[in-house]
Amino acid sequence: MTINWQLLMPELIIILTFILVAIFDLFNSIQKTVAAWLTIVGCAIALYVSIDMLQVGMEGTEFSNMIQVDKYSLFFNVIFLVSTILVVLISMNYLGRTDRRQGEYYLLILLATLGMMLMASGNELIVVFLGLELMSLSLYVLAGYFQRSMASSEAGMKYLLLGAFASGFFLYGIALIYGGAGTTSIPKIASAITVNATSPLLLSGMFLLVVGFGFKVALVPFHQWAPDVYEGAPTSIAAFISAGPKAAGFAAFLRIFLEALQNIQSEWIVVVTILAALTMTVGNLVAIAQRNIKRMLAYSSIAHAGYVLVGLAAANKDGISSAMFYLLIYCIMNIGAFGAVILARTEDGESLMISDYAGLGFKKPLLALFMTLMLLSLAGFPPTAGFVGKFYIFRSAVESGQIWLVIIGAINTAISAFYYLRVVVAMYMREPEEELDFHPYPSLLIVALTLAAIGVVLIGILPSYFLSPAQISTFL
Amino acid sequence: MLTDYLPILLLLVFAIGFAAVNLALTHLIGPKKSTQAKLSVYESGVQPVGDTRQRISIRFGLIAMLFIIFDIEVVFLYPWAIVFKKFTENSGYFILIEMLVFIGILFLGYIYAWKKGGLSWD
Repeated sequence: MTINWQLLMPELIIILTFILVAIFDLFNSIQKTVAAWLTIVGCAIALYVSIDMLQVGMEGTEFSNMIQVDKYSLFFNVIFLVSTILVVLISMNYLGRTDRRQGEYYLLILLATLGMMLMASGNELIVVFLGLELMSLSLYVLAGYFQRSMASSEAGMKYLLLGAFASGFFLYGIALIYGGAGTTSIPKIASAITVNATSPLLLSGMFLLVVGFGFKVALVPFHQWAPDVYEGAPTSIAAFISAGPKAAGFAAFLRIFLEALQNIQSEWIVVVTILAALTMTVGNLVAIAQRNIKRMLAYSSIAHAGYVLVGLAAANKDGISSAMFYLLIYCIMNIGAFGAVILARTEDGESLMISDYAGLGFKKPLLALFMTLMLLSLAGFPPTAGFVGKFYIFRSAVESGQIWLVIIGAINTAISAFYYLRVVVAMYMREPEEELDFHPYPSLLIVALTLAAIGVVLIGILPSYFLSPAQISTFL
Repeated sequence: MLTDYLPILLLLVFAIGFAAVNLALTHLIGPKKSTQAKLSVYESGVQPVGDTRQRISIRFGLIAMLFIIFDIEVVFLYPWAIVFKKFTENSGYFILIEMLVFIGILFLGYIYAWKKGGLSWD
């Protein structure tokens, strides 16, 4: 029995980094930033290896077809690792130098990243579930990382309870699909379904999977946990939860539904279309009513999950590639937006009310510039990455005849511009109500935000350079 | 295909019905003479001591969790030991190195829990 270790290189590098950080955390209590730097270096090497494997086009299965490494999973590895590196960069100053337990924080982030990578490369429903749990369990702890803060503990608890509930749905769905198809291997399910068309077991399993994924990526009837968790969790972790795990959820969602359940497409496409329309509409409408910027970003990230779901509803090759492309853009700009929120820190902690941002445009020009860029990109204004992402998603949906969904999406994009621009207007055109004493800029946060800003502008100007890897990486 | 499960459904209905009917009958036609002893908490014949709603130290939870983790990880050693010989004939001592890596990671976790104070009571 030989194992092709080269295929698993990115995962192995993350595990090795995890062990190094753990050992370092045990025997060193003085240098607190080293754990973070080790994490960044490990992720950067894994990112380099993933990009290299993507360019070479290394593909294959391992562990008796349990793991499927292909361009699709490698592209998602790139998304996860980019967001992890950005999150670690914005975390270092945010956590401060006083906190004793920083090793755990980075260890859990590494574990969550490993879980995401497993989800994207799982060729077996059980492996996908394993990755999902590895990711979720780490995130529950991270959401409650500020033990002394009531809000953070509440966020952790809520996330744990609802997340465990969702995992139950997911697992039950897997069990029913196993009952209907006789296997949990994704390619084998695909071939089994053609034989005994649509059994009730298979259909109910499929619906339970939709519910499970719906919870994990926060689609509308299952989204209630998201605003509370994002608001209570440390802001760096809110950025993390909103980016990588959502991409991982969609990675598995797309692969399972478009590969394993491809032959009962007619059954789930209606459900997904309705969910997409609901998610976009409710997410954007409720975001208008928010006064707290973290809650606003939470509802905006719910709405963005709706846009990605349009790619799944399109159910064609372009739908997958544009969803992948959009997730890459979304991760960068959302982490950037949360990073800008961290940047606006006062002596009393973070200023989270949108009214606190009044007049910042002249008092803190750099902060306002980053915030404006990220919000414009989230809203989908032309020179930024958000625009091209939405454009390709909607184009793929038009190609597959989902005209109504695209109309709803376009209306929603217009609605979303209102609440994103409200923050920009507050920053540049309002006078501050009270003088807030903002912290000086932390240097690493500026580095992270600059990277995110470069990413957003670069993808906006040269979209094809980033889209074409996604287009050749689909599994269909 | 679903008809294969009909016996299970029948058994389920019968089991629930049997319990429900018996409970209802004893409730309706059974004599009710309650005494102090009959109303007390059933403790398998022993005199009840105190209330069950006591606060238990959260430390028990941590210890129990650590126990479960190590217990389950050690369970993996059994199937490994059974197939060990067969594997060494085919592919050398790769399987041994694999388990050493596993135990090494386990050991690291043990030291981590120890050093972070997970095993100390105070």
